[in-house]
Amino acid sequence: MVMPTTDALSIQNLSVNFGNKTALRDISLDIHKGELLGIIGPTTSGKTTFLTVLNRMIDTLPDAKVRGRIRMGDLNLLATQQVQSVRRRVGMIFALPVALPLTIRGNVEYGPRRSGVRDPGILDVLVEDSLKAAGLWEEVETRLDSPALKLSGGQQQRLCIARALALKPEVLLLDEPCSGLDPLSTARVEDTLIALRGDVTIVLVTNNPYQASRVADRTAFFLGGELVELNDTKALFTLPKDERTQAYIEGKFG
Amino acid sequence: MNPSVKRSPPRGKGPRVTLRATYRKPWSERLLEGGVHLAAWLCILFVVLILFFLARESGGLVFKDVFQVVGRYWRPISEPPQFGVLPLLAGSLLVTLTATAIAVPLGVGAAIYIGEFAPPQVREILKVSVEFLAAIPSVVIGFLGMIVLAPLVKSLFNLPTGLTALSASLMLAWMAMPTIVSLTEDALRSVPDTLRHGAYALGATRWQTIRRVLLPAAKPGILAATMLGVGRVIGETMAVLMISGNAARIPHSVLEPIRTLTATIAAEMGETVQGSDHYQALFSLGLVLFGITLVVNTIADRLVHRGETS
Repeated sequence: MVMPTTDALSIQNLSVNFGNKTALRDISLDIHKGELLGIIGPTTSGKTTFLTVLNRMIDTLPDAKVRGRIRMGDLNLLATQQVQSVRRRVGMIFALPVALPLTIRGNVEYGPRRSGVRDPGILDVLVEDSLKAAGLWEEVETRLDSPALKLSGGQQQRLCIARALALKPEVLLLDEPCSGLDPLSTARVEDTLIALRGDVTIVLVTNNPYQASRVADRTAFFLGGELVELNDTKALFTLPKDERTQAYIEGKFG
Repeated sequence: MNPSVKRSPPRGKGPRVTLRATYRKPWSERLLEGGVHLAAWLCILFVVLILFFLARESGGLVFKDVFQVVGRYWRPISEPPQFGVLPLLAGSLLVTLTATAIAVPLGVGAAIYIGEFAPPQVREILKVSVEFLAAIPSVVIGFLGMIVLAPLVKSLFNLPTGLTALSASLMLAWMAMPTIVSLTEDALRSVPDTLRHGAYALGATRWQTIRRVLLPAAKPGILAATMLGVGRVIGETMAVLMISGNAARIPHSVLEPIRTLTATIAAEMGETVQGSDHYQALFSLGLVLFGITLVVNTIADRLVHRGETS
């Protein structure tokens, strides 16, 4: 792998409170362009909150208070008013696949259409490319116009990835994308992520440390809203510097 | 500890019987089951009885020449009487369609505001107000129509009378609104948040999310709300009797007085001799109304279920 030279996202002193409850405390880290960053940690470690900040989905939670700075290229991500544009550049996949109540094609076209792409030719190409990139094309090629809700859970999750990819995002955030999937579907989603790595910056939050060890270039360990350790995946899993990291990946808590 | 394991008799002891044979429903279970059974069948029985009495009292006049569904004149006391249903049917349809055309956009719009945009306190105030609106008796709304709306319509359009199809439609729309608002809001609320977030995460704005995701997802509920609103409008009697102008003529615009099927029955029932042709004609109108309601409900049911399966 070519070592990335620039950062897709640069996060400085990020803190998030819900009311008087602290969800994230003073997080600083850089996410390299094209890398697959794994984030592991037990529940309530703040990893999902971290993701929702990165594409401003946190704005939909009424009592969240965010402090700190996030830079994406020249953009001050936390200050901008162009929330929709941030969400187009930073796509997000949720734990449970959420196929919109549309056709398969409609799901993939949804994002581009909302951002003003109308040309049917361009849309067709986008649909095919995105579904291929998400590893779903062969399975749905012949039934693009059937309801997306008829797909299996694993297929719906890959459809969600395709849908996000159709917007040509710079960063893709995945929040425990395989938590509701069987091992076979999980493997397919992981294959998809590995294939995408390099073209798209991927942040993968997972409850399963082994998933991070399988696919991530670097892995970060979150605990209680703090970033405990961030290192190359191999180094983090073989020689963790912090004993809490060691305890977690050995399954002693969490 | 698994309770079913604990309860099963020890192997080899006691008679071997299947669970099904030994299990008897307790009397309370059977009583309740019988009760809800009865309730369900009573509903059907009432519908059948209503149909039966309507048919009996109409005395088969529907099938006689004097009663014409497509007849242009409703002149029950002229000699010979004419019972042409068309003017009343046209009146009912005109008022229903106009009222629906007014109530549905307003109602759905209000529901979207209440469900998606309003801050919590405003939402509560609005919901309570809408429910209160539903509780106003139709006679009172009729009063309001006569005293406030009719003169307004009269002067606004420079008409000889303000008691027109338009006035009736506006009042009926007002009466159908609470049903439409509450049910549409319920339907929108039942759309899971995951769908909203999914659309937001794709960079959709709030309005785009509502239009392309929430409304389609809530479509069956919105259709049901609309049809129930339509049902309220078709069946409404008192308010239209008071403000529609009571002219049994085929209307050419919404600015003319009209008369509906329901208003006709209510207004003329007291003046008829039991068993007379006029009396039977009014019951025949009841049958026509029954038929319309049946058709509307069937269509609504189909629409709602089609929305569910697709």
